[in-house]
Amino acid sequence: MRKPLKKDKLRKIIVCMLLMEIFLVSSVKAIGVGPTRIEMKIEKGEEVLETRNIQLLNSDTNPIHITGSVTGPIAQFITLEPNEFNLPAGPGAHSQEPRPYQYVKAVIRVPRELPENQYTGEILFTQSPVEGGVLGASAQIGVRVTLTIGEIAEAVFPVYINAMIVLLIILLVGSIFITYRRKRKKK
Amino acid sequence: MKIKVGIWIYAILCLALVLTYRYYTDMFVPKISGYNLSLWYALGINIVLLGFSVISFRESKLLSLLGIILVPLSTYFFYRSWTDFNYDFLAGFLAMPMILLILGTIRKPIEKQSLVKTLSKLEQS
Repeated sequence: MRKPLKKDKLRKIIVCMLLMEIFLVSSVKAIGVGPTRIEMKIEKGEEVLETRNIQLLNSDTNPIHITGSVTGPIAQFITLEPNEFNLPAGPGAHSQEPRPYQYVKAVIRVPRELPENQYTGEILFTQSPVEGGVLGASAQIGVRVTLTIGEIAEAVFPVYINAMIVLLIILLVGSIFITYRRKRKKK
Repeated sequence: MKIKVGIWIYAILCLALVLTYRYYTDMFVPKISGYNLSLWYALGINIVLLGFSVISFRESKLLSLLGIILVPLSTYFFYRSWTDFNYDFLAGFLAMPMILLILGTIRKPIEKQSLVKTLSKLEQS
């Protein structure tokens, strides 16, 4: 009789935890971001200075402070302007009213001398309470960035290498064939 | 037979590596402890050859010793070919399984011939 009781208790705990999580997530996710992904492809040897706008929205009923940072190998190429700012209080998560927003410029500077490679990383925006304000928990939202320099092309082998590959295949097949023929003869 | 199977497996692995080099160059770009993956792939394949060479030493000393000598050479050739974009090194890398395949295939008849010769000499004496 004990087992069903334990199972019931466990179920209740799991349901409570899920409800708490849903509640917490809905209360924490006050910021919205767009776009969620930035992908760039540039030629090798090309120097790039490009600006991408990222929009940040506040749907929380409290004003929030946002700090931007860049993580990963992509960090060496990106600077954020501004990287810290306040967003005024929003209308609430379920309201249809427009939310206060701010554009952040992501300035991407890629020097000319970089080798062909792929650099990835994330632009992270961390939400914290404004001075004197109160916030239950801080949340983080990210924009995934992928920068591909050049195209890593297929290797073009010279004729003699291709011929050697064919020869190796012939030798391999021949060796297997000869060995089995010898074995058959022995039998 | 062990050494022959070892050489076949080695040749197949070498072919797979060279075809990967040809069609999926991206596979070698990531680096592990400062070296690009070309070194580790070539080393992995050559360790297979080393293993077969060691376990079949009794079967054929010549092929086993040759295998052991070729292991570092083959790894070096593939690594240099990738890092220097020099296909002459790749030719060297491809030559290794070719040599082993030829020697592995003609080994038995040569051994038979030498055995016949020694037997005939013994009979004459």
